[in-house]
Amino acid sequence: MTRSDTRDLEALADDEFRARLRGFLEQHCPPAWRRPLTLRLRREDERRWVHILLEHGWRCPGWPREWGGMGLSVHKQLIYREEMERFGVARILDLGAILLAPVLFKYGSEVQQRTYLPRILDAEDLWCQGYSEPGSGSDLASLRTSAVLDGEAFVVNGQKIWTSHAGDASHIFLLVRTSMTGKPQEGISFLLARMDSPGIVVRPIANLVSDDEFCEVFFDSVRVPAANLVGQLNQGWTVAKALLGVERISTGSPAPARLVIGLMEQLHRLGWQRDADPMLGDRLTRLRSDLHDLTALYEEVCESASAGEPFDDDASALKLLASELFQRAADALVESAGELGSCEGTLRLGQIHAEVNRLALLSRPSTIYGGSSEIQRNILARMLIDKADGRELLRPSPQGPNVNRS
Amino acid sequence: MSTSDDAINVMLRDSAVSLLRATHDASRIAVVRGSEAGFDPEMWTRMANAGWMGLRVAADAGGADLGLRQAVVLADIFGALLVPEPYAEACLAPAVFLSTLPASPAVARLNRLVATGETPVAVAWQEQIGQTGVEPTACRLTKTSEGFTLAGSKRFVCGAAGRLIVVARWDGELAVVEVPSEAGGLSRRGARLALGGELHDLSFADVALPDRALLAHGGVVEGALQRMLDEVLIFVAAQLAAVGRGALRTTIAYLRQRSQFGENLSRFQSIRHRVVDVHLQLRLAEASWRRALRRAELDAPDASAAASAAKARAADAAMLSARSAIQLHGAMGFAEATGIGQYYRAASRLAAFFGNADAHRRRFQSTWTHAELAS
Repeated sequence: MTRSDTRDLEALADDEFRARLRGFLEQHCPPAWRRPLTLRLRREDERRWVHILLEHGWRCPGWPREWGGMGLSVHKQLIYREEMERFGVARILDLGAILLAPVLFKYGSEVQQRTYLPRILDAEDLWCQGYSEPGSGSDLASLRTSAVLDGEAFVVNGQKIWTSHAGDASHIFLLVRTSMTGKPQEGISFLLARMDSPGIVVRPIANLVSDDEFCEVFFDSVRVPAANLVGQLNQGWTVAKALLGVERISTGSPAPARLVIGLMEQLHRLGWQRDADPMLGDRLTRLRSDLHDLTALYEEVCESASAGEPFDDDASALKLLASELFQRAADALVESAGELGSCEGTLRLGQIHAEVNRLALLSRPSTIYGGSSEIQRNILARMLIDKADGRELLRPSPQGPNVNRS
Repeated sequence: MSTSDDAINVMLRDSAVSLLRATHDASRIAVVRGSEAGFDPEMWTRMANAGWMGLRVAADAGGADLGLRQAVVLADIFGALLVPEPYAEACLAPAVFLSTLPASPAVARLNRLVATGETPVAVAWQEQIGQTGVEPTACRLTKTSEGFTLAGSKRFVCGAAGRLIVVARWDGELAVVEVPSEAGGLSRRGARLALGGELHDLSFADVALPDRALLAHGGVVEGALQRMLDEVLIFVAAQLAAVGRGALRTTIAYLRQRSQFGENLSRFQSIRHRVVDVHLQLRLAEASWRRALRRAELDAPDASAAASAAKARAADAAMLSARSAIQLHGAMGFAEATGIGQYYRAASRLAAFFGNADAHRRRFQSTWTHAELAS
């Protein structure tokens, strides 16, 4: 199927659209890459999968058609995502297409768009995100990596951390400090840089699942062309917030929880621990009902997004609920494995094979990245408490204790 | 939802809010709480005159012939304003149950009784704690030369009901009969409800019934009961979610004006985060009952599972909100006069009604199809 066919995809009934995508995945997803959640494709594998998607017209569902994307509605984009998750294809980080492209669409100059977008589309360039710093995690606005204009280039000094795939990337998009006056957010700029620039050093950080996905990135007097500034100087904080609608909901997807609960379902159905652990059934029922209601909320928020209605507060609620359910489910899977729950690798529990420990550990970052659970609760508290309209629904009782009496 | 649905719902909401603001407040709740009947007959009549009793009743029986989508508008308002009248159990349940039975003069008469609000009507179908289906039905109907006799027991029936619709077993199949509340051979044991009124356990000792008391029998009864249950569960879930929201709003208003340690209580992070956690559960409850409503309207295969999921979630969310409301008000929360405890009472009553959260998680589990997860 060529790109010109994708106009027809939007017009398809949902069921048919799903069937087409499933058909493509069945035919063209390499079997070894059908490993949901626990596998993330890197480097040449990421490129190869992007080429497969591109060749068959399934690349960049949310991009405008004029830039090579599928130009799908939010509604169809959400179905696309659902089918990908359901099939269980390994993830790609794809930050260029997901985080940088919306920034370029909205704030990029024509030259920047024409230079970078095509090379994101076909993964000729692989991008990493230079945001967090050792001293600036949740409080990102306090970042200190500096960029000082010197002729036709910014000179960048500082350090980024938790930069996923920095060792694989050809490019990095950066938030840097370009002013010390005003509020911290008002002195930040958005820059694009090549990872092979002199002065950039990448040091991978081993994580708890023995991957070296995230890294420290050191900048020692790195010269970045001034033309690589995206948007206005000191406008970086606003620029960085440009995100395609669907992506803001992605952290609220029930898919990771569904995967783990599905595994537990299979275990339970095949009689695993049925006599030894009578509480497993109850735990599973609770998880299942949590998943059911989370899915109901997720679908409601997707509807709002599809209709172009605001949903920011619900995005925070979804992220909290989805990530915490994923963790509860993964923890329950570990518990259901009994003594085996402390073992690594792929476990055989009855007739089911499961990467029990890896799943449990992979669930930990979900409440940390993308705005930690503590931050999400702060966001919701502002909405619920500080912006409450204070109207009483029910007229109170005429008499009550005098609270002012000491 | 169609535009005309929108318009009807807006009208219904506006008229309900306006009527209740004029006739209902916290002191009325206290009066009902102390009453024997558990409702205010004047309010019951007002509700009938406003068309709310007949909302789910067919037009030819004097009803408005509207759907669950309209009824939940009332659920939301009754929950938010803590209206204590037993609308769900003594009006909606019989109206929906009757609508699923084959038409007959007896059914029509009962429909009119419901629609006029002449007396609360209760469906007596449960025989044990946590029952969410037709089993067990040990209550027995026996044919006689003059009609029938009814023997056995039913539990958890609205004490104020003047007319009963009883599910029984007749010769191996299920049957539904109408029983007047003063029937000979019918005895009751009541337990006070915190909201007011009583919950009755009924004992039928060969209660004599005429032939015309039989409303339905056979295969139709089980499906009718499940449909009634599903609708009422969704209504009550919506009401519970609104009770929970009301408790949270009241609590937030209190926190914003209360200071200790030189700081407004609403600024303390532990308190803010607790408020958020209540909101998260309420959000789930709202999404769950709305989904259940859609599935019920579509007569989808997972409609019962969705209804039970919604009831369980809303029950837990409302209880969490009500408990948190007491806690976050400090000692004030435990004083009767401030009215915070009323959210707790309302949540408790509705949470335990027609099967509590645990019972409905079990019903959800057993009616859920594995196809959903596998697909």
